[in-house]
Amino acid sequence: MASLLKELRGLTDEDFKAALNDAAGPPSPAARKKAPKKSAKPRKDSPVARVAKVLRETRGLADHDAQVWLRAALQRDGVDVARIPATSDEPLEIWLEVLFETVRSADALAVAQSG
Amino acid sequence: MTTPVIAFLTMKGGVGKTTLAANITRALADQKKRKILLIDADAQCNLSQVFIESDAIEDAARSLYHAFDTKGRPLLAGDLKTTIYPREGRTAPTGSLIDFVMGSFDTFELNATANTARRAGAAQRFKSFIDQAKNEYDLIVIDTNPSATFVTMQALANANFLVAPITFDAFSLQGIHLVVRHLKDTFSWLDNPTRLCLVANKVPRSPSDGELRRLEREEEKIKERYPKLARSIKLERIHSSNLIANRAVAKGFFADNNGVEGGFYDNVVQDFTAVAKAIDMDLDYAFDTAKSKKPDTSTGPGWGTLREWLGISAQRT
Repeated sequence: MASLLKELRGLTDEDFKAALNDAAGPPSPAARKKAPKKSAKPRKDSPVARVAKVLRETRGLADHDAQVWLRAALQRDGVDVARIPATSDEPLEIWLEVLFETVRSADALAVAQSG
Repeated sequence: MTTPVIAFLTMKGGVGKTTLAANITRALADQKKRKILLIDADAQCNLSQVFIESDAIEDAARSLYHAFDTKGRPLLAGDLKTTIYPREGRTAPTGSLIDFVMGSFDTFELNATANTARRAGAAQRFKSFIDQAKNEYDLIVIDTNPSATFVTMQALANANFLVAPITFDAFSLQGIHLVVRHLKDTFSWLDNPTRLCLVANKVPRSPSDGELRRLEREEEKIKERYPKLARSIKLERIHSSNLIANRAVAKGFFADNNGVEGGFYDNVVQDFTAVAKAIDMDLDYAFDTAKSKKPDTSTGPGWGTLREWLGISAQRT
């Protein structure tokens, strides 16, 4: 018990949670079955699909150029640069998914449509 | 940090306000640990009927009416609430809690009275009730009646954020336009688009390309007519669903039925989750809600208390 406490004291917050999750074991088959399916392609009217469509079709930008352009445009719009992910070689939809974790999709669409 | 007080309001009925108020509140509770007070401020008690049997609402000794009552000592949320999430004996995965204050048909009396002194006293009592609740809860959500009643005005007087469900038709937008146009002088925060969140409801789930273009045109028309509200319209939407349309099924939270009925609830719950995430970001922008200031009242030890029990410091030393 004493050695366990000593070991636990040395853990960071994240390590501590991870250790508890490991101790709980893998999710049951029922829990796995309940997990929502992640669709590879976003819905046609999803925020990601709508912003990607404007950048590609209206602005005629390739995936990487679209990321660079939107990054700069959002900063000009006053969005804190710390909220905007760095550009990547991933498809535009993946980058937008990450972007919308910290930037409002309505702001991104407004910026993409303006100017 | 200011405690967000969200009013679900639009002057157009039938747009899904009550269903959204209930299920978005639940989705907000499932986003992160929060202590939420949900209030039914509609004398029709539609939200109350989602959680409580009709007979119990009629016979209730304590309801929202008593938060306005000037007789006796001022009542607190703790005097009127019923915990609706998590269910008794269970723990929410996030550690969240939703307390509910049921509506009352008796509030009709407050809406109908012409006695200004009575109304002034009732308004003061309700303000004290909300002010106290702000100290105890991370978030307060008020579902209102779609008309300019005394109780609805008191909800707006004490709120600081508006969620308005809309459908893509002229009358629905007129509903929110009426609120902003006629009430922004009384409640200045309504003139701030960052405090307004318009959520499209009943959007076709699998639109054809033609239908998609029509929806986009409708949205553009709204933006042209009300440019100030352009960024308040969320891209995250609630799609049409027979499960939502059929109120007989809509008892309790949709999230509690997840995984049954062939997975149709999954789609509905995913929509509510996406909208709640968007509202959560709005609240973070508007109120810096990233950190909770409220004491931990969940059942079972949270991370902090478990660490204290084990004598573990938060950081590696």
